[in-house]
Amino acid sequence: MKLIAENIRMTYDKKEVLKGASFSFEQGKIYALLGRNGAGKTTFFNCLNEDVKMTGGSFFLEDEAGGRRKVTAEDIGYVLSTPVVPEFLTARELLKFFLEINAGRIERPLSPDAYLDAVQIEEEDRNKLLRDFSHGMKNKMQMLLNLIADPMLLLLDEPLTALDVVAQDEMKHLLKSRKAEHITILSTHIMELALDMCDEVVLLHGGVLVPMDRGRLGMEEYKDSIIAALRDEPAGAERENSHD
Amino acid sequence: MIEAFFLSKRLAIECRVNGTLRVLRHVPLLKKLLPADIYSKSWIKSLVFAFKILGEIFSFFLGKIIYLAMMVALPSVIIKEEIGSAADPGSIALHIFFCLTLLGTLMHNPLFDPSEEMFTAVFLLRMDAKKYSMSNYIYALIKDAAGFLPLLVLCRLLIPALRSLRIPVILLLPLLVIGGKLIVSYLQLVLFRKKGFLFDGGAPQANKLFVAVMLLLFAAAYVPPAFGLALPQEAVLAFSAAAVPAGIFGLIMLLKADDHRRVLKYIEFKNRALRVEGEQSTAKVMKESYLKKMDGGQAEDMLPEEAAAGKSGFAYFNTLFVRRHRRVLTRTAKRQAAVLAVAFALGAAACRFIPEAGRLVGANLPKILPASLFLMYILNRGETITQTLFFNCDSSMMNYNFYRRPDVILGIFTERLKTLVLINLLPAAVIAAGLPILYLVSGGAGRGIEYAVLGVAPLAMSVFFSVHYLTMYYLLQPYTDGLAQKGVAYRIVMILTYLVCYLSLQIDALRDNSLLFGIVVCLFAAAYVPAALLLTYKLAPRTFRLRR
Repeated sequence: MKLIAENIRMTYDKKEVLKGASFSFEQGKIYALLGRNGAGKTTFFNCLNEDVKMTGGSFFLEDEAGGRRKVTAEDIGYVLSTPVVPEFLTARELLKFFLEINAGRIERPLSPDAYLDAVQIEEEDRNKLLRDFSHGMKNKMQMLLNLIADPMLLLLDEPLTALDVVAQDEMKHLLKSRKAEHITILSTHIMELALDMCDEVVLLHGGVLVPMDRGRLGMEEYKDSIIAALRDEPAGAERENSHD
Repeated sequence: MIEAFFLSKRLAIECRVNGTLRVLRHVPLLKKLLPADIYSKSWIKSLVFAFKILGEIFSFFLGKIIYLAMMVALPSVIIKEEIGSAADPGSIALHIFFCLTLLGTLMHNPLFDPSEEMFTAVFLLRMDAKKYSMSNYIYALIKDAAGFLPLLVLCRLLIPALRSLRIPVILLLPLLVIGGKLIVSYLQLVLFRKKGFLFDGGAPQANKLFVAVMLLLFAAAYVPPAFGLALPQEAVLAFSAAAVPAGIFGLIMLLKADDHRRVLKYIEFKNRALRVEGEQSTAKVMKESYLKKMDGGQAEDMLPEEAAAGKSGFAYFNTLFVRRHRRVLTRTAKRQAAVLAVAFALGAAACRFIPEAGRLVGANLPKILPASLFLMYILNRGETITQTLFFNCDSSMMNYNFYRRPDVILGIFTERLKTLVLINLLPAAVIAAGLPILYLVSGGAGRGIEYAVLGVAPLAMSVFFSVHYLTMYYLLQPYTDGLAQKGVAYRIVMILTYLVCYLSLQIDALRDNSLLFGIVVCLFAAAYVPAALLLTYKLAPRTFRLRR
């Protein structure tokens, strides 16, 4: 399966944020979406998630046989950097509700507690209102729902910044372990995370998507070339080619 | 200091001008006409700026005219004419004005005003706190005096009933207003230095005492004149004269003080709940208060809610929401129902035992129907409840894609519809039962159909409003997370709703044909409800989403 973004355009008032961004994201890979502040990463995610109406272009899912279909809301899991959870429910209650209304859609559903075990939410916290959860715990809950729903496409906006180092490590492994069946796109400002976790780096720069091929560059050189590309300096020679 | 004043005023007006432009840019048609770089277009800005200045000058007088008319003149007339007080009308008005002025020194004293502009100027832009607050305070006081002086003099000259008031008393009153405020502000500062809080409604240490003092001053303003007692002019004159040195002393001390920033910090901190990221909407405040009250701010285990036991899916979710928000959702409706029940019982008793009242009610009760539409509009909890739904539930849940599936949106909509209709039916049922009973007890010789309309119309109105608010919420989803910006279409619908209800109160012809009015309302509700529901089931999956 591939996610194909075709000529995505988005204009706010008269400012063109996305100027015909095109790319093909493949299943089995984790992509790092890098870009400067205001480059349009969140806008790109919002377009994909149909939170805003695109000015132009389209998204498709393409299977191995080349058959195309439109991306629906159910294909997407979107994990926001600031976790949002319904504060009036407890962790158990939220999971119970979630599992009930998704009955029949989840393969091999487990009990709420089994899922809470899996993300290591302590027994004593499970009957607490989610509003009393820490930022990191809310983040875990949000991630958990998206993982259970198991959408083909997972969009992660700065996904690990709120987690402690151990939780970060677990989450990294979790995301890596399930990447074979999914298309994962991760937007981040942390270069190390992008290089450590992701198979490919894609820049969102000047309103278009640009792949940053590492080629035979060493790690430091690769980093420099990414920064140079984002600064519009000539060092990013490959970028110039792929722009066309 | 003058420089600081003009800087802060420019900033304040700039903020308001930009705010106005932002709102204008959200009006569908205007949006096309107003360019995105409107904030830098000087001529448009100057235009809005000029309007704001005019507004500022206008507010100089308008607020004071309303205040004098509603708080002083009207009560004075009532006390003199209706209650038949023995006191002279000029003394009554003067007495009320004096007491309210004292009350104002505590309640409307803007030195320690927790405004958005203060926050921006002092804490974001690091303006000198003392220069900021003192210059703005002095300006506000001058505005007070300059507004009151001509108005009070005009009143004295033009209103014959005030002839008894001596001119010097009138001329000194504005000084009483500002002198009183200055000395009270200084005393507040002294209290803050000693005890760490201000004497106002917000400080928990002084909350009850503050309310008591307010009530006492309020009562002092209106009760004694009703019994023919009013302060003699000489006393007011003496107080006003004393307020001059006291005010000068207060001003000097305030100018000498160097802890303005600390006080502002305290106020800012106290009011943070009201200003969550520039958010001023009542819903957000409501959220804060609900969360605090629910468990005293402490994390604790939630017992499984009994009401939700055995339920699953949408009903489970909705029941938990209702249970955990019952303060906002159901309590008011219950109170409304109780108050109405008592009112009807008293009314029925009056009709039963006072023949005159019975005749009056019997002859006029059906005419009340058009007014009851307005009453039902006021009582309906629809808008508050949809706000609670958004801020405490949907604003977070809508970030999950499963929540946006049509079956989920509509499943939860159905549960909510039941809840909302039931909550609003509580007071409506009391009215629907109370009106026919009252009519019966008063010996109303109406036909059966009149009884039927009196009983059915309030229920129809209640269901109509419940459906109206909820469907408009689902179809126009007006709220944005974080900002209090309401969708313009939603706002227009709400204004129209208000206008229709208000007009039903005002048009005499409706009262004379109230039976017909009642029947038309029932038929309208019967047509509107299915149409609105149909539209929601068709469109809500597309329209019910977050505004980003």
